[in-house]
Amino acid sequence: MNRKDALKTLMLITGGTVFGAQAFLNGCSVRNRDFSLSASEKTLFNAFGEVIIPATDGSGGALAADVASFAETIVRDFYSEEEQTTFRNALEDLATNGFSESRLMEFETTKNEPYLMLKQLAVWGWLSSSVAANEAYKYVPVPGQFTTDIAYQKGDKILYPRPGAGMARGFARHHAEKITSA
Amino acid sequence: MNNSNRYDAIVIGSGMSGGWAAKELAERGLKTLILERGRNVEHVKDYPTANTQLWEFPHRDTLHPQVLRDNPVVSRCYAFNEATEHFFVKDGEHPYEQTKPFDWIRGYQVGGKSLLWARMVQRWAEFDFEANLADGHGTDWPIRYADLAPWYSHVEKIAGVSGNRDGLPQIPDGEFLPPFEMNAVERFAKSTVEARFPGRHIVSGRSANLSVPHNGRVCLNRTLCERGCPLGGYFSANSVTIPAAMATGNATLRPHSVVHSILYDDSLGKASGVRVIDAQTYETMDFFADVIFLNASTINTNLILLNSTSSRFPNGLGNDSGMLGKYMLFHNYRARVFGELDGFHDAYVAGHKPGGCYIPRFRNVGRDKQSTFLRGYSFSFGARRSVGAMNETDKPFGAEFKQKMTELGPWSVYATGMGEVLPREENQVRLSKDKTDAWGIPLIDLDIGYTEHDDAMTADILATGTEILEAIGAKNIRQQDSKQAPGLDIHEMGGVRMGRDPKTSMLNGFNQMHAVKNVFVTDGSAMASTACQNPSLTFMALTVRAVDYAVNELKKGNL
Repeated sequence: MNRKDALKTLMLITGGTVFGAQAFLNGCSVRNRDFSLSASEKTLFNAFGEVIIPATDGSGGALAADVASFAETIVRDFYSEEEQTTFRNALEDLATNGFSESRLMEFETTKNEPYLMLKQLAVWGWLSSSVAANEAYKYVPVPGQFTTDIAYQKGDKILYPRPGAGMARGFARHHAEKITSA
Repeated sequence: MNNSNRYDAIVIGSGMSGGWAAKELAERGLKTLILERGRNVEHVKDYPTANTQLWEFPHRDTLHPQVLRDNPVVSRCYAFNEATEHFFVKDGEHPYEQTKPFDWIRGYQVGGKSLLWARMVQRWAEFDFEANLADGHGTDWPIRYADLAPWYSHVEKIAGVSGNRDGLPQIPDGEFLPPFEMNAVERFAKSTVEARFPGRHIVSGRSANLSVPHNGRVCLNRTLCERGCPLGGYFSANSVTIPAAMATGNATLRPHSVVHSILYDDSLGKASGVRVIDAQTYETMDFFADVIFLNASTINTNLILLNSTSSRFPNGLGNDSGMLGKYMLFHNYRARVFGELDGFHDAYVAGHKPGGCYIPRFRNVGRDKQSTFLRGYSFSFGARRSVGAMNETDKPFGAEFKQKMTELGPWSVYATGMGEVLPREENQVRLSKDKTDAWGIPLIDLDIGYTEHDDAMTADILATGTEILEAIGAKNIRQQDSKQAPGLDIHEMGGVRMGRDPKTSMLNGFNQMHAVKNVFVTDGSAMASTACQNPSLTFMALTVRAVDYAVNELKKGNL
């Protein structure tokens, strides 16, 4: 999968809106470099992530990938102070009001932005993890050859798409714009 | 004169073309000094991210938004990311002026941009060398295809080029390793398009990636090329030409050497050496040689010559014609067409392919005659299976959602145009009147733009790209004119053009300065037109040909 495929996947997953990065591109670079998640916040985020991407037969989910540590890095390094606050408030809301499937469906229906921010971090964190690469996909870092005419049937493991390269640039460029390109 | 600063030859620049100059000169026995303005990048040792897993990057190979904000020019380059940023010049490090917007993408290190290139290497056609003469735009090339053909071969045999012998006059066949396979959709597209549109061909792109082991190097289809390949799976100066030059024992590599100017000796009537400012100590020093190869990359080569002034050459070295810095060229990469394809659901691939397909020029070729533009364009073309089978109605989280993320989606197809721009005097580079860099060297001012001719060609690229995608049954076809500034093609050329007449050109048919016989310019700046092939192969072939000539002339005592 090339970068645009990766983006497309991510955008489809997250409903077309991308979070983070925008404040920087607007020239506002206020952020809190000391941002960190407490142990309980990490537990909470991983639990939320596990609802989005659960462990299934044969492959770990968001918890196994520890998407909370990834989210902490991205939110600390990429997000503006305002976005950091949004992120933390959204986590707090999950802690207070829970994240039942019906609640998440409602967030999806209303395109609740704080929820989509969290979801995006969970999906991105999982997709770019060794857990996803090695368990959910066929990860062959050194293929040794390129061959075509490989028969594919639904259910076969597919090549790991290596998402991530340039994703922030994609975020920045296509902010709030539906990615439809190949 | 300090003897320790004396060499037989000096090569300015260690990248795509400079590496070849250094290798060939050193192999012919000349004590050769290679000057590189950036740091050393030693093959294997200095590829810090070559084996880094995606999840080992702090931000999973995603650059910090602030880096993107602070570096808008280099950030527009597709290859600039967390894994490769150390090989790119950041905007603020080396400023330049833009009378017109120009995205100047640079790699200041040993190997230059040869570490980072996209590795497509189509030969030029016979008619490409005749184009300027035929339609009167630009000055006639002083060479023809036959002059360069053996030197294309020389480069291909050493670099390693994978490609199919397609027998097409637009892209003459070369010394090929087996081609990389086209996938099922690409083969379908080839047969469909070639049947439907006589004259249009889809071929496996000729690529400087190794489809089979070659000269001790091997491509294992990791497709992490831009990070530097420890296996030498693609041609770079770092993996091939610089090590070959060093292995002779005749070459000296001097990184951190910013070239200020080429020194002209009025009494000898030729260049005596090169003035260098050490990038780190700011110390100025002169190096001397019998012959000088200038391969600093197109724009910096122009800058060095413009800054090499003397009483004999007040307007830049060898610039009797007044042509220096004029007729700058690039490729029009604005137009792109893409869509999705139904079917081929059971077709897939194994491994990664380090290149794509290529549609050679078909406009104004043979009986095709266009009324709105001259010359033509090629396409890079490809089909890929997208990842993710989710539909908008699927539940957007949970086990099924996860499952769909790991399934294949439909095939996507794309065609990206690469259009020839016409040589125009108005496309120029000049020295800044009042701004200098950290070493006191004037900044370069870029004044290069599109014309209505380019707009007309862009419109036709979109139209024929759409025809091609429609012919293979693509759906949801979208056309995109990025209107990107010149430069992002990273195919900048010209300014020191070759030609037959010293009154209208800088270099003769051997890339030798008309007015300064011991100076050879063999990077992209020498180009008198661009054709619509990726240009690096032609720079390399011109270089090895020029070295052969220069060494022979030197032996005859003519330099």
